[in-house]
Amino acid sequence: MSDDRPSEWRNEDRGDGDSPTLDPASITRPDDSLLVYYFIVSLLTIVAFPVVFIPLFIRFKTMRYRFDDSGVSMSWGFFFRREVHLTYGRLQDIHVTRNIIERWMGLAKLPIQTASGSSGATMRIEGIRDPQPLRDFLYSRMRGARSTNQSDGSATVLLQDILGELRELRAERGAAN
Amino acid sequence: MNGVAERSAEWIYRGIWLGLVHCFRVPDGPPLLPEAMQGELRVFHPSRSYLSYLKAYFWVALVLVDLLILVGWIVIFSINPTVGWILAVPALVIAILPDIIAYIAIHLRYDTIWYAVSNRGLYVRRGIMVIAEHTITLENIQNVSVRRGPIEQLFGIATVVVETAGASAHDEESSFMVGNQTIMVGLEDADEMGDLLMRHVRASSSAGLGDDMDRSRDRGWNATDLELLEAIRGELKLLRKPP
Repeated sequence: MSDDRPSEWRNEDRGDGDSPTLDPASITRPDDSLLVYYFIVSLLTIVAFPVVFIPLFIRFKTMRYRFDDSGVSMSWGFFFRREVHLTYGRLQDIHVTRNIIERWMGLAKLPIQTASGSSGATMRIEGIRDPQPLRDFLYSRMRGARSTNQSDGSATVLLQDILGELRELRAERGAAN
Repeated sequence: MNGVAERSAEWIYRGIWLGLVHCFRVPDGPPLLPEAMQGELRVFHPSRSYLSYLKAYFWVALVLVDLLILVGWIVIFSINPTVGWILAVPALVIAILPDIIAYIAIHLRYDTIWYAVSNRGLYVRRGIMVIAEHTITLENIQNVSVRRGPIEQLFGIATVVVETAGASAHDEESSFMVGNQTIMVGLEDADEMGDLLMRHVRASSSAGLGDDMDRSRDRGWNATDLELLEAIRGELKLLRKPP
């Protein structure tokens, strides 16, 4: 890996290397089985079924994700629209939770958090099939997930070069005198 | 005889475990960790003393509850022996069955707790009904606290709670599922773990709030670089004043 490329490029390359199978930009909608999960969850409330299910149905229908280079956005709602934006670098915690019903259906929730003062997760990414690659992707973009040795090494090389040049210069001047 | 009992208990336990894995999709074996988390990676369960600690609670509860059932049964028996005899079998079932279930649950709980620590990140997985995984980078740790209750002290274990600047869990939510606390129960080397984590926090040049990576990365010089810088200064001095 050459050192003259901008650091963002290097990050990009390594990000791809960390999750070769996942292109997070391809995740734009929750998995269809999330609706089935919402249906089952609503059924469990028995009497309150319509009251619980209708908002969940709207939530499912309107839920959109957008994973780009710097962060993730999520929006949902029809009457009450919500949008949440955050950047990967500011992620603090990544959770992955799966209850029994979700596990049977192969779904998972990823509540992720930034350093805001509120209680509860900043964003709940729901309806993700196979959460491992997405978790790994988010983790690899979090601050502190990457090794810092790379740039330390390049600084050392640079200093060694400067020292070498100076020694040569001194030797030349010594020879000239 | 004792060996046979132990072996059959182990077989039963393994059967229950397989049932959980196949019917309830409980992940078998150690967790899958992010690839970026390499470097001095250590994956482990809580200390064995944590199991003994849970069992101590179990035995105390068992003795109390079963004593209560026994006293109740004796009272009924002394009032009306016929009803007492009829109730003998249900009372025995009520006394014994929950104990077995609780005992197995304790072992399952212990076996489903996983910790992973590397020099970059920290990972905790726990749970049977709801499986909760929590991943953080050591860079984002804000504080580390070690908690020890009286019974935990007796067993030589402690709970390490690692907090990030993230949002805390709602009151009605379990802090294992969301929230900024990474709770590691039943650690024998809790002090070492706390020190290890805090060393990483002190070595970090950022506040752990998602500060710009590229800038903070080049801020500090390491020992080799400092040596080189001193050598360069020496060279420059020699250049100015030729001997």
